[in-house]
Amino acid sequence: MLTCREVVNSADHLIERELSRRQQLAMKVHLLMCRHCRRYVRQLRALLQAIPFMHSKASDSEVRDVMEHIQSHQSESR
Amino acid sequence: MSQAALVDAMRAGDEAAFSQAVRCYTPSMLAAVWGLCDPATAEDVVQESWLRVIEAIHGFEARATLKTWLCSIAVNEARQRLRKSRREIPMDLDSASASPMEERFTSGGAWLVPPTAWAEHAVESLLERDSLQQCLEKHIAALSEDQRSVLALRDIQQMPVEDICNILQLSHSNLRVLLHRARHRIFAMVDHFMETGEC
Repeated sequence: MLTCREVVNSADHLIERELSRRQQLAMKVHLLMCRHCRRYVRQLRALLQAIPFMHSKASDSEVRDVMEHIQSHQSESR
Repeated sequence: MSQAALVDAMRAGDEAAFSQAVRCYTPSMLAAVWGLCDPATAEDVVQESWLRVIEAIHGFEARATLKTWLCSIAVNEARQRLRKSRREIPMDLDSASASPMEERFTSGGAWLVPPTAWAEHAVESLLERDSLQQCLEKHIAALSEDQRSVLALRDIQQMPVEDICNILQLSHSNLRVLLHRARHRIFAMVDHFMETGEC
């Protein structure tokens, strides 16, 4: 049977569906019996789903900075 | 606008299309060079990269996605600067940066310090809490350069693993180690925040 440390070390592979069927089964058996590991996997999954929303598209000022940089470069090279 | 239409418009010198590309892809390019230079230099690198894109877009062959191709240009630009400044960044795979989760287990591998039970719906509102968002940004900034790059590209930008390996010239297994450690650090940080309310 897997230890809790092994489950935690494989949790992101489980979430990203990178485990073999046998490994998945071993994880599921452990998770059925261990509430701490269930909590870890559930919370890690939620965290990984939330993180992408930290950054979205560039702001207007960032776009303006880049476009001004390009325009100044182009006017210099003319 | 589809990628092909966007590329065509950029090739034709359409300024609006270029602005659209800058808006969509600048965050990914910044994320790609995050681990290679400091934030101010990263912005400079990305601006220079967009200048290169004006010329190079005519040779874009769509073998990779536009995003991956743009990130590769930004990483190459950052690497050129590093070579000029002769700064070498060692791969962060040593034990000194091992996972902070390790100390939470007994020698037999059972939980010694189990995770805190986060409040229900805590994660849905996780990043709506400014204090946590700032804490998360602080801890991501404190990750090693390699860990920060892979976390930014994989978990924030959600880029495919193969593309990240190509952009950062990492093996699949090294990428996995770096990503795993970065996630453990971020989890441990959020867990501490949920328990104590402190960053």
